[in-house]
Amino acid sequence: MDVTRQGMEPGTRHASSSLRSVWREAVLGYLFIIPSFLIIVVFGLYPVLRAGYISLHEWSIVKGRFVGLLNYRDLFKASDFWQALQVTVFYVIATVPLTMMLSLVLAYLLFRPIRFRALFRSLYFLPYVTSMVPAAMVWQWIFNSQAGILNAMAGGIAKGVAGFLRLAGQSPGVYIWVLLMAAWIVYVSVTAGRRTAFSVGFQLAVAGILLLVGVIFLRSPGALQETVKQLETFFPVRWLQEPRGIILFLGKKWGFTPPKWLQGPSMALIAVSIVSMWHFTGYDVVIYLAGLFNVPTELYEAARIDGATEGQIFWKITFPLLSPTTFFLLIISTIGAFRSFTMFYVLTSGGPLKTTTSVTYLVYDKFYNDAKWGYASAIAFVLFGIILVMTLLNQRLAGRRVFYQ
Amino acid sequence: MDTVQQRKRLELIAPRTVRSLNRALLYTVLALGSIGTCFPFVWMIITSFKTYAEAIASPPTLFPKDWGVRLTVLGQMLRSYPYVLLIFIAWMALGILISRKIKDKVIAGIYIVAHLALFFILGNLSWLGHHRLFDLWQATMTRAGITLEPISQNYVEAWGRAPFAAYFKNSIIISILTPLLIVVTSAPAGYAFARLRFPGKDVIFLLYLATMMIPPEVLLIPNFITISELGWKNTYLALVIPFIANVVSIFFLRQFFRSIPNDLYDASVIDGCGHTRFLLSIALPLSRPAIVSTGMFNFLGSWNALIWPLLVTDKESMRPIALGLASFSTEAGTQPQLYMAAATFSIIPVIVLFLFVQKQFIEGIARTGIK
Repeated sequence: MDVTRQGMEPGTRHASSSLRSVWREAVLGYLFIIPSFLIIVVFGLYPVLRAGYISLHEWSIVKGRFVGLLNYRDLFKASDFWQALQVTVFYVIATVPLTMMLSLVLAYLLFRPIRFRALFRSLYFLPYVTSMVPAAMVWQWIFNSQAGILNAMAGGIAKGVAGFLRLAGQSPGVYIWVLLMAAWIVYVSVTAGRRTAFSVGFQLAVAGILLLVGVIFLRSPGALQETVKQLETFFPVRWLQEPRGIILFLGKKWGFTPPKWLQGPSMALIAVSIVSMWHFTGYDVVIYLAGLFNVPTELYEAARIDGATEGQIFWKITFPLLSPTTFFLLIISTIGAFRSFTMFYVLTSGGPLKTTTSVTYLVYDKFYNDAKWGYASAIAFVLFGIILVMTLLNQRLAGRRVFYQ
Repeated sequence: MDTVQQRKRLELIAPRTVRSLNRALLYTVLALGSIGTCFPFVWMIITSFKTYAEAIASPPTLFPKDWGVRLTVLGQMLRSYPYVLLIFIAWMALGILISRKIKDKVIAGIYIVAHLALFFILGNLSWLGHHRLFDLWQATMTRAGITLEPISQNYVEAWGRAPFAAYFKNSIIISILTPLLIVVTSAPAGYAFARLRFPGKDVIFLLYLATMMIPPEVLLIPNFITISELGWKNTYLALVIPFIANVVSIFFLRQFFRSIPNDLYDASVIDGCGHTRFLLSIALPLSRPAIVSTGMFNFLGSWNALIWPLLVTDKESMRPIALGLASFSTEAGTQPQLYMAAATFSIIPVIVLFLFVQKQFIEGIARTGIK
């Protein structure tokens, strides 16, 4: 990412030029800038002031009375704004880190000298160039609750797993399972000294959870029966039409009702996030690949000579040196996710039960459907403020910890 | 994976085997990933060839049922008219021969597809009389006593259900005009910021950069009012003019112009070249990669724009394809095979264009991270 690549500071070599030519250069400069300046002022800067002006009024298609900051007070009181903000935050949390992790893995794999690298890169990038409208039409069809392929395939897999569990539950399979997991934990703990902390922690967590599942099934065979039954009837899920939160949705199936604050993002929002990941992974892969190519190869060679393992090389060299890229992507994707509108508009139109109404969608909804222009402008301004604060905070906090080469 | 013990154990298996196993694993993961990203496209195309009854069937069929029948008909046709197969093989051999002369593999691939398409176009020309491919196909079907709808039926029907020709025309006009005008405004601006000295330059540049922070939602309502006041609703002006000054493109071109060595400018001054001439005949041609990649970006931006066209157009005949398709999908919502066909023909031009410029485009993004 050599956006800051320096050319020679131009002009410095003509310091001796006459006043007349300085004057001419200045005029030429203004002439060169005028076309873009006019457009930017008329359609980029003036509208901000005007939006501020509108947000201080009751404004429904035509200007109404001046209300001062009432629109802002109203929006902070209104539950729909807070719900929209919550939806947006859930969306950011569900998409940004996962997309980045997935793309880092893909980029790391693509970074090796392999065949068809350009082909793979283009294939991953394809979703990013396709228009969201046809893409959303396809995804709606994939997510369709009756005829959708996702429910059909996932349902098939769930039935297979259920069948396997039923078989394993009847035989001494569970005992073997529990013993195996326990052995894994012991093995990882004994050899912990030779592994990175991340690897140990990750393996212990996975083995622990699997061990726990085994123990639960061992102690109460009823739970196993129930799980098998639920797995078999889990699909079809209504995906884009499912307003219930994911924790509530999953919990209900196993007879657990979480409190209201723990219901999590709606299944519809999860589905939207999946589409969003599909759309943006290719972009992140390309950026990460560029970052990987910027890491000097001498570092890898030196590390290999010193006997570093692949894991160590990744965590101690690649990952820290990629931190500017990661940081850049984090900012860009977070702001992008905060602003994303089309995704919600074409996939769910804010529904079901407004559980996918993001802040930007709310702006559109208030403006286009409710004709509350003043109120919509106020929301847009608050969103602007949030994005501004986030960018500045990001630059302050993470900016210092990032490794620059 | 990273302990000494394990390495020793792995060496019991030949290291070469381990390496090729790793390699196989790597390719499997990458292939699975690309299947994941491409699946929606594949599914879109498959659904667009199904009949209505089959499209809404639950559980869905993996391939259209009549494809099997079509294959048998094709087999019979080739058996009755073997010269078709011979001509086809010769034609494709020619195509492969030509495509091997093309260096860029992607473009060679596109050429093969175009070559194949040309076979069907030429094969249906009227001067072939009753030897046209379509007639042979019909004759085979009549003889076998099979009736099948033409394979393109959904596409023809979808195309006729909405004014797609107008949508495409609008989209093409908007998405070619916008990037062109962006170059017209950004090249001089980028050049001025990169190489000219004038009072207030830094302030203006900061102002430009600051506009990048403004979310488009803030601008939506006031710009909508401005456009209405100007009386530009339902015109191309409304769809193009607000977007022809693009700060990202200006910034990008500025970076590019800065990297042009000063000596080049000095040399051209000696040859009697001013700044304007230098920009037009040296700086711009040198920055072709930059222009291609921002151009592609701005093209995609206008091609995919949805919310702004929705606000400023209410006439069907002025709508671009993204918007037209969105309203078509609400209208044909119960007919998935139709809107999948419409989605297919609206995606294909963009994909083909992307394949042509993908290398410069992707590298442009990698270099600047514009989004």
